[in-house]
This record gives sequence, structure tokens and C-alpha cells, in this order.
Amino acid sequence: MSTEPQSGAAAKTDQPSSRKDEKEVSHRKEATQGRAASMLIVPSIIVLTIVIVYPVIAAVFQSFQKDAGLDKATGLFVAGGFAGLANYKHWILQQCTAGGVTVPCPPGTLGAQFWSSIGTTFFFTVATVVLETAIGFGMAVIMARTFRGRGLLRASVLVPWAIPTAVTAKLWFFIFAFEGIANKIFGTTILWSGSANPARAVIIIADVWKTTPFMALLILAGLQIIPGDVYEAAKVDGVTAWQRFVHITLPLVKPALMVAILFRTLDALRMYDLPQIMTGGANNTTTLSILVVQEIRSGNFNSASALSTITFIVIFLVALIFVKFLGVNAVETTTVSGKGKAK
Amino acid sequence: MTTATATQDTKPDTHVKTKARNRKRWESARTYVFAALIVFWCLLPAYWMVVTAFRDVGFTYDSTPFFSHVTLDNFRAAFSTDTGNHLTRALINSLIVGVITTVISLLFGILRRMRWHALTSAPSTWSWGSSWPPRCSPAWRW
Repeated sequence: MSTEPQSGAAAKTDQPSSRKDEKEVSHRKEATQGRAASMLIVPSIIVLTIVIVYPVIAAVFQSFQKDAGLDKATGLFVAGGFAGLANYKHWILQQCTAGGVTVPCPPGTLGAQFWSSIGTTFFFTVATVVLETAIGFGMAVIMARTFRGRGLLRASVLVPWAIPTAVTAKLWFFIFAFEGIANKIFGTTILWSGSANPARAVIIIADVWKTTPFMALLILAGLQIIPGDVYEAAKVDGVTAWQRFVHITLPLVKPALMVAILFRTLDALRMYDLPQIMTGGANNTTTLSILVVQEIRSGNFNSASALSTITFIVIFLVALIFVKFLGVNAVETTTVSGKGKAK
Repeated sequence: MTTATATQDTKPDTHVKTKARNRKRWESARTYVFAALIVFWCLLPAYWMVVTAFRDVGFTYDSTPFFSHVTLDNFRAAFSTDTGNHLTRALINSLIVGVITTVISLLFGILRRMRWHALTSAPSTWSWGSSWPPRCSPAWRW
């Protein structure tokens, strides 16, 4: 009875229930809260500790460790020990150690790529998220209409999303190969992977192709909770389509839209597989995640930990900006005052 | 007299009606055009992948827009272990990992959902899976 599905809206109206129901409710409350609830939390907390808390703490701890190596003075092999902020200075202040002396990182080394990879990551993020939001919004508006073949549209939109990213990368790699179909269709002879701008364009196109459906579906979900009578009322008042879009659709879809943009942004900031497979990070397409993996592969686990901690902080700050300053409400329900302010 | 006024009244009326009908037709035509664009944009690259998959290696970069030089060699090559690829093994591995992680996360997820409802809502609002799949409504909770 109480477990039967009920929509959130219906539940919130708090209709006066019969006395028998109320009695049952309070009884149920006693039974489910307290000890039983905490018993149910424990396994989750243990799992979260093992798979999230421990690795994060271990990585942060490692980022403050020195590399093991030979001691200059004694010639003995010494274990690492505490390094202070050396690993962070290595990335942020571009300090490399060459023969025991701290020098600015020479160009070409992984350390020297830090700032350019930050730039690349943000460039990809801004470009893909802007395009995906715009195209995704258009797709969602079309998908929300009723017409014959809507099922086909919604199914085909899911295709790019369902293909694994690695396969997507290879797919576009073939399309944008020098002899590939893209060059033939457009009659161009561009070596797409040969220089920075074409390589970046290809990665952005592939990412937009892959992730726009995700945006479109999230925005579509937001569009569908807008009641239709609002539009009907506006139509009766003789409001133009553009005004309807700006003054009804946008404000009402804003919460869902912002959550979608937030998710996509955080996702794009840790982009790894597309650039890694398509260009291997060549021609200024090295993102932060690629740099982390390259650093691990060259054996510098401590500085790689520092770099991944920096990446984590960067993503965290971006999320903070979204939630604090742009008012994205990913966790709680939107307040009425917030809605009123949104024009 | 009366007939005259009647025709005068009906004329603009039908005019408005046809105008509205035309606009509606125009709108739905636009919808179909955009829908077709979206379908092509989403499916063409995937279609091209399938076409290339069935094409003889010598003609990988052939630009024929439909199936040509059809062969199953690529699939045979993909599944053969001669070159050190073990696709069958990899598929089985994916299956094992997928099943086990799903079962484990489902197990703990169910426990957590129970916790959520027990702590955050009166039992009268118990609704299993109400927030899954994520509808991304403003009320969406993690």
C-alpha cells in the first residue's frame, strides 16, 4: 500500500489522510528509522570508503612524497620521504630538477606541458559544452514535438550515445583519415591529424557527435515538465514564438538545463579517451588526464599524483562556481524564490 | 442583403482558416526537415562504420556511399588470434566485469535507496525507483 508508486508531486500535496493511515505511517516511521536505517547505511559507507575515500587520500598522500633515488652525498639508495610542495611546484611553477639543481622545465618535457594542457582542456570543455548545449537544445525541442516517426528519431539519437567512446574515436579517425570520406566529400586535402587546429576540430566534432544526445535527453526531460497550458495561455495572448521561447521555455527549463551543463562540463574537463585515441595528445591536444597518464607511464608516480590532485581541484573549483555562483541546484529541490527571480 | 453580408463574413473567415492551415503545414514540414537532419547526423557516421566494416581491406577508403566490396574478412580477422588479438576473450572479460559490477552496485544501491527513503521521506511517499531513471527534474536527488 505505502510502497505503491506515487509521483512526487502527488505526495507533496499532503492530502489529509484517514486516521488509520496516519497510525500506520507513524508506526512505519519508527520501524524504518534509527537503528535499521543506520544498519543499512553501513555497507554503503564501507564500500564508498574502499572505492572512493581510500584512493583519494592515498593519491593526495603520494603527491607529497619524494621519488626514491640515490642520495648525492652518500651515494646510497634512499626511500622517498616527505617532499613538501615540490611536486606541485614542479607543475604549477614549472620547476624541474636537473642534476640536483632546480631549473625551469625545458620545453618538450612533460612538466613543460602543464599550462598548455590546462589551456587545451578548458578550450575543449568550452567548445564542446557550448556546441552540445546549443545543438542539444535544438534536438530536444524537435524531439518534444508530436509527429509521426518520433520514435525513430528518439531511437536514432541514442545510437551515438550507445557506441563506446573508444569506438567513436576510431570511427571518426577513419572518417577524417587523409584518404577518408570527409576529405572526399568536402574536396579538401587536409591532414586532419597533422596540425593543431584540424586535430582539435576533429576531436570536438567527435565529442559533439557522441555527447549531444545525452544533453538532448536531459533537456528533453526538462522540457516535458513544462505544462502545456502555459504555452496555450501565451498563444491566446498573441505572444510570438520567440517570446514564448525566451520568457517561458528558457526560465522553466533552466534548472534542468543548468544541471545538464554542469554534468557535461565536469565530464569534459576529464576528457581522456577521444584525444588519446585520435591524436595521442599530439599537436596541442594533450588534456590534463592524458598528461597524468603520460606522467604515470614515465614512472613518476608522485608527481603524477600531484597532477591528478591538481586536476581534481580544478574540476572541484569549476563545480563550485557552478553551484555557488550560477545557482545550479543538482542536489536539492529548487526554491520558489529562485524560480520567481528567474523572470 | 443577407446573402451579401454572409459572403462578406465568410470570406475573411476562410481566408484566416487557410492561412492558419498553411502555417501549421509549414510548421510540421519544418519539424520533419529538422528531424531528418538529426537522424542523418546521428546515424550516418555509424552507418559509415558498418559499411567500412564489411568492406574489403584494399577498399577501406573507397567513397562509395553504399555497401561495396562486401566481405566478412574483417570480422574473421577481428576474431582470429593469429595477430595476438583475443577479441573473444576480451568480450568475455567485458561480460564478466559488467555482470559482477552491476550485481554488486545493485546490491549496495538497493540498500542505499532503502536508507534514503527511511531517512528523508515519510513512508507514505515511498515510491521505489521514483528518482530512477534520472528525469532531471528540479527535484532530482542523488
